[in-house]
Amino acid sequence: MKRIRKDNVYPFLKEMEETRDVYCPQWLNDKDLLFLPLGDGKFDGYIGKTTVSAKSLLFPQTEEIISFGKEIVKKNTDSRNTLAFGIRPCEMKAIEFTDRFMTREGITDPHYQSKREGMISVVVACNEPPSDTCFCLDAGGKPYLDDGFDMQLFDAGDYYIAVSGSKEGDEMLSSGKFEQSDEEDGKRVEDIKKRSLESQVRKPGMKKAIETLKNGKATNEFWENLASRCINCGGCVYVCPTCTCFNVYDLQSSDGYSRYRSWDACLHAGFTMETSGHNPRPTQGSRLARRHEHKLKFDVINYGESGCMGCGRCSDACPVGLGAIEIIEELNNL
Amino acid sequence: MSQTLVVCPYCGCGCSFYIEEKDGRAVGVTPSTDHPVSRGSLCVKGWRAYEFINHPERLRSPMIRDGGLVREATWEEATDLIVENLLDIKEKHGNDALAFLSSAKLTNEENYLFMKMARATFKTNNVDHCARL
Amino acid sequence: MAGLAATFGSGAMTNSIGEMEDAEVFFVIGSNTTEQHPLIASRMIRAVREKNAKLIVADPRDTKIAKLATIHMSHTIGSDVALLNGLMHIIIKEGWEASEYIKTRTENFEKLKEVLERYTPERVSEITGIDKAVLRSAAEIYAKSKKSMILYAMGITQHVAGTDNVKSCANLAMLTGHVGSPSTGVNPLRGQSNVQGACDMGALPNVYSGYQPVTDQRIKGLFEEAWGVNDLSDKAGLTLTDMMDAGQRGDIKAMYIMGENPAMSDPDSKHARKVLRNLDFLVVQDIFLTETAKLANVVLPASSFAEKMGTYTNTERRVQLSRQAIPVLDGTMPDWQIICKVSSKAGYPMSYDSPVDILDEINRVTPSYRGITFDRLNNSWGLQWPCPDEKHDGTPFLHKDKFARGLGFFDAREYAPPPEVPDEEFPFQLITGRVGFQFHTGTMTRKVSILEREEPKAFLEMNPKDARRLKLINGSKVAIESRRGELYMPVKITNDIPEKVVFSTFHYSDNNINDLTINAVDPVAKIPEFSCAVSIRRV
Repeated sequence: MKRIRKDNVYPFLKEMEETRDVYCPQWLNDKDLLFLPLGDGKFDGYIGKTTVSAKSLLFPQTEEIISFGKEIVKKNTDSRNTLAFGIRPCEMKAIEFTDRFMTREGITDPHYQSKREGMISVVVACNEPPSDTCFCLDAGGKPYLDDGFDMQLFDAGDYYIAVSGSKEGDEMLSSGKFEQSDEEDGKRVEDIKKRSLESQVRKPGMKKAIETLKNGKATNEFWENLASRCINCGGCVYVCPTCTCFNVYDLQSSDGYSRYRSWDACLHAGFTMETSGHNPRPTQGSRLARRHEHKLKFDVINYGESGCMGCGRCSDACPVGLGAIEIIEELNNL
Repeated sequence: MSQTLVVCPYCGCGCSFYIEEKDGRAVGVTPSTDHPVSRGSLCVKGWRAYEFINHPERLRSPMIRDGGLVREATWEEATDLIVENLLDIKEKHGNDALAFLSSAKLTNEENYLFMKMARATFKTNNVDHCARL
Repeated sequence: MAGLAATFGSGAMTNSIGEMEDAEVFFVIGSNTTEQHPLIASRMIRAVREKNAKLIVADPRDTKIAKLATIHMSHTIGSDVALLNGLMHIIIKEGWEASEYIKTRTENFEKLKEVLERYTPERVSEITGIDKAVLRSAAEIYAKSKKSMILYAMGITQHVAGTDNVKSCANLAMLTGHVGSPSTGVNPLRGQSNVQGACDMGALPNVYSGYQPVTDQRIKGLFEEAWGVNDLSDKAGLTLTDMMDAGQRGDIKAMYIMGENPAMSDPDSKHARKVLRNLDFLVVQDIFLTETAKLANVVLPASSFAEKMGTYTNTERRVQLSRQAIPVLDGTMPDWQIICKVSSKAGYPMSYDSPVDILDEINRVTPSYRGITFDRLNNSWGLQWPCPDEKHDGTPFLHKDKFARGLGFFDAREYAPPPEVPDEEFPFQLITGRVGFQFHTGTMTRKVSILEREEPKAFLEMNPKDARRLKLINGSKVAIESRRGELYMPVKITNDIPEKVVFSTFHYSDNNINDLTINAVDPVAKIPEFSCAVSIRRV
């Protein structure tokens, strides 16, 4: 355990930038927080909650995955070394969750894998929920992590208390920008953790909703009624840290063709439709059901944890008030 | 890589979002949370608005119909030909033999300049756009 | 717009999108809002679900927004004036009108009353096909609330009676005092990103920017001075629909088309293509090789919205700045630079360093945009016109204490049946529109993988009863014939459309429904009818 003064964070990141591409939350237009390359000083130390989750660092909105000319097929991977600074505990948990999907049954997604292997993370625990749609505690998480990070920072006012979770974390801690912690810091971390748990007040009731789904109490009618509001924008899927739907398409390039993949959404009929033309999820209600059953029911059955981390981004992005929070609340009204 | 705030090119709601640029290409869209119309949301068209921008079918050169064939031309050749023909028709058939159709998808500045061109350069009020369609 | 200008003195959305949150009643007529203006629809959906706002939808089709409605009136196509007059008749009979408002803020009420007398619930019910009790509840809900907003779109303007429809909406709003305060008004939803701005900037045959008439000698003088010319025309020009007719007669010899695709979007588009092809000279400036560009003598490659800076005016009159996100694509040029180049070569030099300079000039010559300067837009979410000076904060809703024209004018309109109604030979009424995944002529959206996957081809929506009669199942291919042409497409059978009515879209160049539609126009606004009679047979 060490500590780093807050005014030393930027110099530390600059130091890291010599060997890695550094991404951290930065303001755009003073209003929108996004993960952006560190660059030249727009980072003001604020961590918060970004509009789109850190998944975009590993699984970007669009990427060229293959290019092919007359004879050559080139698989595009990205093996840059990166540092993701300031990701929140729920997002780190979401990345571990996504790792399982991207490598399951021995089939590894090379585009994701190359970026994931090159990435190290500095998680900043949440003393308080960074937005009023946060509900990680209710979703089975915590506003801090017990493991699964390279470094975790706890906000102690003028400085962060830094805990390493890996070899890479140890290396970062050896930077001169970190100072020795005093004997009180360990106790301070416990205090911060305790208070952060108490500060998590938003509780839509995911446990109960999971039971409702497992018991089959959510009928088709329930879902169709909710879906009558859905305007099929796909926004909830795009901003979700664990959603991995993608579309693949080819475009002509100057010397052949490029194959791109881009974020897609299981709420679109064309996504669930099979090649034959048959659609196993033919209605908006059935697709909405599928999306939430996947996260709240099947992930729980298959992996023992929900696929929703309680970040609340879908509730922020949904134009009609149909994010996870609202869906859980509706399920609990059944 | 950069993120730039733009106005959506589709309907009249006037939503706003950031376009993500990478290597000179538009590669993504992020909604603007504070915007008074879109408030952090977008429709499906807005979320995908980056995709057509760098499409390979984008026109990359002026083109001229030469006899029955269409061929690429330089900007100078193409604009010379336009001016020559428009002025010729204006001369022979009068200002009002020309008509100008502006666009509900272009900026205010472009619409203003286009109507200024119709009126001040070619001296006709035959200028309209597709608001009615 | 002509309809609102005549009654209120200003042709634009009277209120703002943000005000929709506090509205108690929405009356939506001729707008498939969820598909066409999704983020405006979402405001209504939330107000209905979360704040118990009431939603009245008048649309022949059972659209998504209609399904969410408190009352959905599936009225006969082209019966909008009768429907609106019928609602007003009931309001007056029941004494729900806003007497004080009518007395102090409007004129010509007696004439309206006289016309409305003839629109009894019985007669209106017969014309529109809407039950009398339903008409009464709709009238009561709309009239009795303090905050009722009317929203409309091309569903009522794209008719020969379009101006009458709009005027009737305005009459209804004035009758009940629902204009001039927050969360009320008559609100046309504009279908493209800068329709409002194109109108505001004077891309219209009869006005300069800010709706200053070209026929007014004083205004002409002002523009001659500002532009340094001395012989501007004071004769109003031709509208697009008139241009096409003039083109056919040979009176128009050359056209310069920037960023539009009339070869597909015009009604009876085969006719439009023929006119364009027969011109002596056609210039098209666009980002893709559109169906219109294919007919051109010269095509100029323009830069897209992401490659330039400029301002756009949304449907609520909000002027916003859009910034350059990516470098100009090699080989292309932003439209404003192309115009400067062409104009300068034609003998009238235009030189601007950037769109900022052009906006400066707009500020100088356009009273309603005078205070909408680049610096202010660069640091805000835009300003709503009118904004007469740099101290002014813009105008979220119009006609606060008095109408732009002074008193609101009740211009009573009579119902007239549409120009082409189904008959024995063409027994179906065809209506056209857009789907949510495509946009207009598809120039942009058909290049987007997911949108194209969701709605890849043209279809014809038809009621199951009609389908049964014609022995069609979902996906059966039919021939659709109108007096102007014939097309082939698969049917999509749905209860969302009434019997004897069919629906299709104009997104697909290979199967363009506008080859069939009718080019009969509203005599005032010159907006075409589009809806027409067709016959359908299995092939």
